[in-house]
Amino acid sequence: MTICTGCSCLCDDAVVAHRDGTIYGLKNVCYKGGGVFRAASSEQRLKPTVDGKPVEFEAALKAAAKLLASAEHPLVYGLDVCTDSAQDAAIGLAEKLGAALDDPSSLCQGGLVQQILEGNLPTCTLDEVRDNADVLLYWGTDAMNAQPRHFSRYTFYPRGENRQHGYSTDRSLLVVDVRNTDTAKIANRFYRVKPGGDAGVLDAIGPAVDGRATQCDLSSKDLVDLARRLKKAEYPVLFCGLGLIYSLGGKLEKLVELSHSMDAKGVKLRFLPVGCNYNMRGFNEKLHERLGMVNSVDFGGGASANALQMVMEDRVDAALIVGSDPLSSWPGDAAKKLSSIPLVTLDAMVTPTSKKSGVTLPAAISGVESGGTATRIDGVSVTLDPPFEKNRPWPDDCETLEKMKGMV
Amino acid sequence: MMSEMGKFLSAPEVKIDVVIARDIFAAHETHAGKYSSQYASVCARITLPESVMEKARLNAGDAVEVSTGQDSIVVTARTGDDDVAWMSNSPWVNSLLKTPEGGALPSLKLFSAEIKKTRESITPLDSLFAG
Repeated sequence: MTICTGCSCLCDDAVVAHRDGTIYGLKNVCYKGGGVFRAASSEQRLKPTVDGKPVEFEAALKAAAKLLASAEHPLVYGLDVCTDSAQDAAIGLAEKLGAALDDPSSLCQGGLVQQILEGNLPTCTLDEVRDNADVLLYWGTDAMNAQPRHFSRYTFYPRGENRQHGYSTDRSLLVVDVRNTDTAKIANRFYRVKPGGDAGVLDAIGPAVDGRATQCDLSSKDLVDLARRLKKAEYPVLFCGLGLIYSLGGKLEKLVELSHSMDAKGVKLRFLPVGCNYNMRGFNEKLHERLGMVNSVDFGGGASANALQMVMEDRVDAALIVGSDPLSSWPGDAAKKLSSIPLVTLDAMVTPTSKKSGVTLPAAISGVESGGTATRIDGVSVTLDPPFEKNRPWPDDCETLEKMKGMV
Repeated sequence: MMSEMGKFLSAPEVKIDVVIARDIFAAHETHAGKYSSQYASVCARITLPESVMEKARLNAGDAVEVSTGQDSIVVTARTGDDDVAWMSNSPWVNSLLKTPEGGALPSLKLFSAEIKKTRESITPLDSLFAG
């Protein structure tokens, strides 16, 4: 069995059939996860380069260290598809460089993880969901596409210790979304909200549980139905997607208020994020334990800000991008601005960001060609078991980052 | 006769709100490598309600310009089974978004745009970052 690093589910039952470094069969892997294993034999693997020219790995490493050491205030960014040890090495490197440090969670689920780690939102593990949950409320997430085995491995379909009938009679799947998604199509109930209408619905749930339907984006009938199902639930779980986070503008007090309001009515609602890179939570936990923040720190002593803001406000003059492609995932203006400063990319694959980088350093694909530990989205630690560790083409992220730290 | 006449009429512009969503096919190609024709085919596309396809005089597979006024891209149109327009999270759609001032969370899930049928080619990936 192999751990799939396709997403933060970190499914631990993947079976990879391979011979001479070639995969000829995958079992228990979703189509999304299949892409990670396919990458191992891709022709788009990154090579060591300096100024676009191929060089030896060590030469690229030296050039990267020189570029970062000569920057006044560099940014270290990415790290959500790296192992725990690579994240530790990157944090150490950022500290030594006096750099700003951030990961993609500052633009997605980081705020939610922070609320969970600080005990403001009750939570549980995915195994506890499988064993106990009877009402699954997916809000602003199309998990069928974002985390395709969420339902079959952990939440809806499987039988659990206290839910022996699984989805057939023991669980109900509720979906709140702006679109009739693939997830909404298999739900027991789909509640459609208009874009931006989520906060109003969150506010209305508490009073509706008490039998008072207030004005919100759902019809009174839908609102009362949703509240009734939550009130009757023995173990309800709210899976928060990016649609909900963005609709709330990242202001998650609404979720905390809902939690308190439901708690006062005797309903313990648990919260879990959905839709993240495989070790985002690991990065968040490490920083939180050390600094009380889950992302967006500045070891240079400046005011903390997310990487996007740092770049847009010209507060960084070089960047090390590790296992991430901000040129593809950031808003266009920020992507263009980032590409105008000197970049070093450490990644397994060629990306738009690596193409704009003065120095590129290839890495083994973690979970496929290199091992280590990672933290699942629910906080459970998992040990990776890479099928191709013996024939990995390049060092892993951790090794490279540790070497770089010694050179700057 | 009508379709012959239609050739001489300019394609109508239609204002829409576009939701940005996750798509399993785009996610697979993202992991497997972004410089492939498969990646472009599943990412450089917009899924439109049937009513919008009709209003913009689009057929499935047509090239369509998606414009925010400041930036525009050309992607492929296809018909969805819902009344909400959406695009998969990708560099194409993200290139149309703007960063808010003051560190606020950018709106990476929803934007307003005008769409119009075009004869232009699909915007190549690397040209999204030019300039």
